Amino acid sequence: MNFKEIIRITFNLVVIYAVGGALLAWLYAQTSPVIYNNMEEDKANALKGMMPVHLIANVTGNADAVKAVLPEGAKVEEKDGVLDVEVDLYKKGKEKLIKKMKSAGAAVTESSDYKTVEKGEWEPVHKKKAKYFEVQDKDGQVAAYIVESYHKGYSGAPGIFVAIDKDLTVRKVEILTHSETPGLGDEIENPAFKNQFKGKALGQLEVVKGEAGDKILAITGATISSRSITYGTRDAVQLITDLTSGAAAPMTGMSHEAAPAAEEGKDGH
Amino acid sequence: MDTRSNIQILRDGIFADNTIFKLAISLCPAIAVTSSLKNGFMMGLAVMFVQTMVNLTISLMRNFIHPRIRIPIFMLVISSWVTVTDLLMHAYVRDVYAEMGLYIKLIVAFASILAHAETFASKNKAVPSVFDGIGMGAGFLFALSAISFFRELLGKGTVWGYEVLAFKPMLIMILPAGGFLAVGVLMAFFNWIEIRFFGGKPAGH
Repeated sequence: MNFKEIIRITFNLVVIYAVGGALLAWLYAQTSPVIYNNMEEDKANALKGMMPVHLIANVTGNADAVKAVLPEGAKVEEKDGVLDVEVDLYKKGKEKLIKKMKSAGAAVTESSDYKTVEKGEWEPVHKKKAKYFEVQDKDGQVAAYIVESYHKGYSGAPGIFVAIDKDLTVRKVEILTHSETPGLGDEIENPAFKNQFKGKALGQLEVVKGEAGDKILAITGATISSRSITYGTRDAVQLITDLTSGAAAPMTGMSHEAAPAAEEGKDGH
Repeated sequence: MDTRSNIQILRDGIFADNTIFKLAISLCPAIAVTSSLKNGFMMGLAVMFVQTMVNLTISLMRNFIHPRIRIPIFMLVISSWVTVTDLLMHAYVRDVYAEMGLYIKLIVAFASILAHAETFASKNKAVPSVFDGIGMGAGFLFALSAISFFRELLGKGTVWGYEVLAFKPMLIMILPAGGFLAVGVLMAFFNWIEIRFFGGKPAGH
């Protein structure tokens, strides 16, 4: 290979990579604002979904038919042909229910008793800053707290919202973003996993295998992903505990490398 | 230059040169994502798109690529298309991205795409290359769907997330070991069909 050949190869590689890079840079510039807005919108929607919503149904047909499509655990109040249904649903689940109620003969509007007020920022272990919110009821009283939290998973740090009741137990956990392994780690989005968190107090937020007891049962083959959500939740509860006990606002999430690194490695995902 | 007709190229991609059952490449991602039919199908679709676009791009640029550095350039083309797909889907088809986003980035590491950029697209014109991409992609889609269908059915008792069996016959099928089992058994099955009914010859003859 002579000198001329080397120059030709270099030139060939540089030109193609420069063109490719420029095209990608252009596309990135075009799409990244859209992506950012989408994510902010998703966050805003998720925030609304952390507290129960009221679906006000103007029944035009048979009220019993409408009631029949409601999920278990929905609170219903009936007044002059108007059903006031309180449900704990979010995004797709809520949309599906509204569709069902409409086809059962009711005009549905949404409303909420709660107002979410941004209270400040904190620093989770694996993210520079995240927000936390106070949820106020109709009378302006504190009804709950919502914390945005991040804790390292198998691939990146999944972002979650944690709604915490006034008695410092978890109300609801919702996953905002994650890039855990498809088929294993992404099971954290499964309601069967997320619903485990309801009612858990600080000391119960630990991952166990086999028998859940009063703790959080790990997903088979995805212990690290399960831990990520559980510890993220634990940080959030700790933050609210500290804030409400009158201690100075903590600027860092508590560090808890309770699980030794060696154990994490051996578990796979 | 390949002398087969476009339709023949397409068919060979699906059957005679099937990525998983015949060439036995890209097995690692194929096993990682096939624990449910939905995942397998989504991945297959994404691969089909990227494979077709990569084949087209490489075959259009084939006269500008210096043979000594073809592999880094193939890698650039593949990763660019994967990034393009990822960005466009994330920005403009959010619903689909919410389901498929996790799989898109994995496609960069697919041996089957690199293999066909090298063996086919860099030596052939654009139109046959597109047929080759669609054929190989469709074959991969078919293989992934078949594998994930059996894994999900046996491992979870469900199909596309809907419960079909009230029990889980073989939990091992959704674990990685079950992936190898499913690939092996299905590979044998499809080869048997080919030999028995279509006059194919067993490997090595």
